[in-house]
Amino acid sequence: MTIDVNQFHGVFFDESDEHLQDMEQLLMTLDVDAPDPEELNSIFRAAHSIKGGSGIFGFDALMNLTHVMENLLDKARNQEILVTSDIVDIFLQTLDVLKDTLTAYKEQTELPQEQIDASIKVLEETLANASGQVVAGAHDSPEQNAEDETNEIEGFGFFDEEETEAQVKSENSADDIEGFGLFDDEATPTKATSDAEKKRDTSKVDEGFGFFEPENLPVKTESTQPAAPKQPIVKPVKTQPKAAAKEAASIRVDTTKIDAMVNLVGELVITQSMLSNVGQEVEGQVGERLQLAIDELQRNTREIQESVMSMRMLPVNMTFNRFPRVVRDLSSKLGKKVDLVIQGGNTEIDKSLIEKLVDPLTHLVRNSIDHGIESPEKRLEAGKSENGTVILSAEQKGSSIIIGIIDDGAGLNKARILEKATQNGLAVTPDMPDSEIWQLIFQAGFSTAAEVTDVSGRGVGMDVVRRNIESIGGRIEIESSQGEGSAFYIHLPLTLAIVDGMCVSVGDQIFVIPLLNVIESFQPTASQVKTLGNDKVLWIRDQYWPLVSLTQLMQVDDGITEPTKGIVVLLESSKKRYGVLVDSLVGQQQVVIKSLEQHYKKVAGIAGATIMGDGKVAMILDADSVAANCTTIPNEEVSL
Amino acid sequence: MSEAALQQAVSASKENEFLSFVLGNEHYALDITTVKEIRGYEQVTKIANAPSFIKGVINLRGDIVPIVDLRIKFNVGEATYNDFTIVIMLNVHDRIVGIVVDGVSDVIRLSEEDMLPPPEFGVAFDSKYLHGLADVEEHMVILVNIESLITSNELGLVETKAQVVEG
Repeated sequence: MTIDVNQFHGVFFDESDEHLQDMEQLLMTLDVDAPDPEELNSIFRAAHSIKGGSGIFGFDALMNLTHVMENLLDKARNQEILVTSDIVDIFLQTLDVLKDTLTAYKEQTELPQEQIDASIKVLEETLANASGQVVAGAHDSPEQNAEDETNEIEGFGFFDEEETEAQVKSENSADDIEGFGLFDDEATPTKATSDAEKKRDTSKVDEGFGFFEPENLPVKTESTQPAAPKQPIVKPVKTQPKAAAKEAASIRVDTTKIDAMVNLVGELVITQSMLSNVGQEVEGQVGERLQLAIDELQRNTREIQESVMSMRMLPVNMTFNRFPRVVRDLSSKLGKKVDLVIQGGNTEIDKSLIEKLVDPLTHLVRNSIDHGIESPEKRLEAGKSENGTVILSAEQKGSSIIIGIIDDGAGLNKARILEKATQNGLAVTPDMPDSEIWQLIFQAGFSTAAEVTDVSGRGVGMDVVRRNIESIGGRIEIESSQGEGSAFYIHLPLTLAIVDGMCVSVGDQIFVIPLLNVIESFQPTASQVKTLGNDKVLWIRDQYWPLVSLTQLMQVDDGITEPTKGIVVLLESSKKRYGVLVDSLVGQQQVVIKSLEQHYKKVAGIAGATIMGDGKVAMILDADSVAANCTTIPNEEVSL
Repeated sequence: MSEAALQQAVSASKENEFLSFVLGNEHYALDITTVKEIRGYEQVTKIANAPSFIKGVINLRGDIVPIVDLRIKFNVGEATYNDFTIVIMLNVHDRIVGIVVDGVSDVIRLSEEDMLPPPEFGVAFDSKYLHGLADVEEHMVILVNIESLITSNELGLVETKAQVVEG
């Protein structure tokens, strides 16, 4: 029987990521003057779980580093050494190295061996200094190693009952229960054996796994039992229920399963609306009863839909939580005093968005601290408090989420932005509206930082930030006033699976325009429509707007091509503003976005498809891609 | 083509099952394991800038599935749509595609010996999309290599995937 241990790697990486995050959070909140033993315990447990897992999978570098870290943590929680802010710093640095190492294992790239060694050294020195003891080294003594290994193994339920009892006395074993998550219920004893056998390739673990051989079992008992009485028996009892409760609180589900569920519920909604269409045709008493049942069904489907959608949702805090650390590191590096305030961290947002938010948010927060917040002296001069404030906020408005990065720093420097824009050959005038000036900073190669630091100033960032945000269907707005601070607001759709759309008809087809892009719709008068060469433009809001006929663009038969007979919907994409000509408006509704590429291929101008209440397919317009199609001159150049 | 493809087509078992269908006056058959279901023709939603033989897309229980009219593509028969027009839903390389045909006739069992090599001309389909010919109850049935047809660049149904290499 061969079992691919690699299948468990993903789970291990996920869990280790979580453990690292937990540790970081706990370290950040740790009160150095009066450390909470329970918190130190939690940090220790997290480190220990990573060590256990990495031992099982033969990730030696990870194991060695966590091992030394764990030693130090062990001393700390037993109050043998005093946790100082220096030690917290060392731990935080170690966490960074651990993260890199974990990534290296995950992506199978080269290990950051230098940092690992350096980290181990620093930790050992700290340990030696703090406790006055000489630490043997990163490598476990055989006996210790054996103890560790057997503790992990206990999790597989591999040992006899009496064996396990002996183990429980060892303090580490209880902690290792967390490690069981790696194998879930699949970890049958036989499997564990073969896992273990595979492991034997990794040289260092060898000794530990030798114990799997039945004839060696007694040896193992001997080697661990001396270690057992070291710790009081009470401890594992204390930690065990906690681990169990944690597991019951959530389960790990593959996102594809949830996506499949979202799809099915979408189907259910469609079927339900078909049914209610039919139901309206039934008359008499039966019809009334049917209508009641359909109403009930409608309520239930809506609730199912909401709860399924909520499965994909996670609190924004998942992203925000990393920022106390970023702010702390950066502000101390730059010699600035910055308070971070997090608001609305419980606002929920689609999981896929959370992951993609990290980079742009990090960039914006770093920008705020580096460029926005002034040095303490300057702040005092300007009559502000010494500590700058950066607010990270999230709130839901309708079907979008607004994430704000607000600082009370110097604000954007209008003169310098304009100067830089002129230097870069952009057409600017000083009397441009502020909002347009601020948008200039999203141009590639645009940085107004006086000097390039390793934090920011290279001007590669903001255009990437904007692109990242646009790639997840969002947009970014800036408010700023000189001397008072600046605010960046990221508007994001609540989810990528559902879009609020305006349904329009063209010929016999229905198209859905994402509401996010719609400015307004109206029936144009003849005087508003001008002809420019072969193209038509609209004069409205004191501007010329390119006009795109959906009938022509989407090659629909029998659509209206005469602007005054149809309806024009003004759209705003990230690149252009323009109007599209449609036959009529049908209504607003939420639609589930379906991929066209799954069974066909990408179609220009179309973001995806959806299924309407009658079961028919409607295309969802992609405002950006339609803009690329509209050949008319962009508004700026049209203005006369 | 291609002894190899022929081999491949029949190697799984001695006898393979084929679904035979009618395009114009000709009888065709395709490997039944690729067939997902058979349904009547329904109104499609058109796709902009698609060739005329791609009729559009339909909703197949939540999947947006393109519908191809082979009669237009290969210029056989008349592309009319009525209550008797049939769409064969195929599942090829995890993609679902519907093909419009004039009718579905039968499931036929053919062994390797029953198959004759395809002619170089005289059939609407390019011979690279054919497994071969077979005689079934006085008819000549053209065995279509539906996988290579659906994934071909000629149909343009698949964007990135290169054409399936024969053999």
